[in-house]
Amino acid sequence: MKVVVLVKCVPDSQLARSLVAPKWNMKRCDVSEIVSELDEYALEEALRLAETHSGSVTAVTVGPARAVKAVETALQRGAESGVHIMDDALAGSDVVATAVVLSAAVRRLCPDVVIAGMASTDSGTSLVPSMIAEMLGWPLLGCVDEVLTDGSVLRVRRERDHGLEVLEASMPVIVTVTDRASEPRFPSFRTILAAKRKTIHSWSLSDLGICSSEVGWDAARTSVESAVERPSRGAGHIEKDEGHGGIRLAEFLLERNLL
Amino acid sequence: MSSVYVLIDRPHGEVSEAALGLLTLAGQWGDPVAIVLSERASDEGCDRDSAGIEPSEMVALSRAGAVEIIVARPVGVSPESGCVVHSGELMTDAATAALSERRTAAELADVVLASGTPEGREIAGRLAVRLKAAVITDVVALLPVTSDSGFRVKKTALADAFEVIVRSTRRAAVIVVAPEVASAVWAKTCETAVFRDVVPRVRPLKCPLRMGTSAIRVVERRARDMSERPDLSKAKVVVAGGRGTRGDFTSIEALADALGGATAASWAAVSAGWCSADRQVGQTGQRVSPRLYVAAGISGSVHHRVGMQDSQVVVAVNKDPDAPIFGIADFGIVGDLFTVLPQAVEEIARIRGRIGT
Repeated sequence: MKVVVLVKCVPDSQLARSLVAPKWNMKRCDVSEIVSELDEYALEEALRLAETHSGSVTAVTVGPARAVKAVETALQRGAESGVHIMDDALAGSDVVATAVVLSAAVRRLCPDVVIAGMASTDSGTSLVPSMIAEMLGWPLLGCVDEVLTDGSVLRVRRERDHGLEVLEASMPVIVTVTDRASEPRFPSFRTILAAKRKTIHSWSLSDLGICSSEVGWDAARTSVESAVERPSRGAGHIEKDEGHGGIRLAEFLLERNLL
Repeated sequence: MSSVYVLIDRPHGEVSEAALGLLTLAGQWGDPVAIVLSERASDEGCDRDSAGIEPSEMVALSRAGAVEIIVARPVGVSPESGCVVHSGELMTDAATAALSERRTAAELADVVLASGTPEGREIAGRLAVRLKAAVITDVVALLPVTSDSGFRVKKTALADAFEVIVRSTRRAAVIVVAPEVASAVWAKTCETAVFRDVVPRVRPLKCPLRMGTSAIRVVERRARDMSERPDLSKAKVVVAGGRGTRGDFTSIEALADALGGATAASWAAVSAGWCSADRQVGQTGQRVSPRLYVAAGISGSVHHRVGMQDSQVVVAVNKDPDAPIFGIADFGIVGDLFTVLPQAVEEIARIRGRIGT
């Protein structure tokens, strides 16, 4: 079974993040970039599928030179090979352009299953997987908590506000995974060493038969006029419990008319 | 005025409040046209145009301002076939059919509103590809349309830390509104009781299935047992527990009951299996903005804060004085939730007894 996992480097959400003029794109720098946390769950499900069905996992990313870190991390955790799509023309690409590039890469790799995280932790649109599904004419099983297969059909379980669903789809199929899925594994010394011998293919737009006018700033279907940082909530009164913490809490609620 | 199409989701077999809010919002840009998916296949015989949609739902759609209701009925699917089709692709087909039928030179532009649920995002992504449209997510307000520019909206970005004005550079646009914003719009409409008094046209639409659609089968669907506590998205008071509860939600529930509130949980608590997923507040769960949010045993990572930082009053109880949750709390107690919360419950009962409520 061939599994492709889509991975992405993002600015660390635990640190201050900002949008920069004039085009209000995300401020990015090498040091604070990490693999989008939600992609780790996608990778874990991909590895589990490949392990139980003697398959292999290929990690795919799009972005400038530093973005390859996302693929390297996936290789260290057990992915077999990687693809890094890099091209100067890609700068400023929107979700549609990203989906055009990734769907072309998936077409070339011919996997049975594509797995992605439920969202990235930066732009967080959750749109790329459904756009790839549409471009390839595949079904999408979105926001699932567990992925199972007997080798021919993919079965997923997902929890929604209104209840539980078990769905099945024939392959090829694209799946997105929530952070309620299996706990992602850590790389071991052995897998880190093994990763050094694995290949990362670097593909350009022409390798994928994509015209540069389809991507980048000029192809973007939206433009940002302005961005303003919202004032953050300040801290109020914090005190240590000296034995009357609960009473103090109730008094605060009374004072604020919340009882 | 040109038409503004609204994708109506019916998660429990009933029109959602968010969908009704979208119709209200759509009125700012043009004539709202609702696209509803009927569960009844069109080959079942057309008894009436709105077959498969409850009369009460039709009333709600018209009160929310729909000038036209397009009832899409799939061709070639029936419950008897044992193949219940997932609605994501079906809605995309319905919307495409509805729009392509109506696309004329007279229409200035196509704009479709959807709610930002997982299904809504799937449909938005697919539709944007089919319509060659711009797509904008996490939208919190529609801005007035000017003649020279495309559709402009206000959206949030980077875990709600930024408010951004975005413009579509395409003739067609798919606008994905944050579901909690759309629901709040409808709640406000109901409060003011100012409803648009229109009698909508009802138009049936036969919706042929595309090949990919039948590829997903529902094996099992189990409805959740509804809690007796208030619904999390509507509750005025929310009491949430996290890792610090170590799985014991008794104190959380007791305080929620004392305050007439809903219980909620952080990702850590849901992930550990202590709470069901519908209770989760945060980036990958729900976003709530109650009058009072009590976070107990929750450190307050950025992923959790994005789900509750718009609450009017935030109270935090945590053992760790350095927990980031204290940075946004109006009132905080550094202490053990297992002693602080029960004491608060007791004191609330005492105060209520004293003031006679």
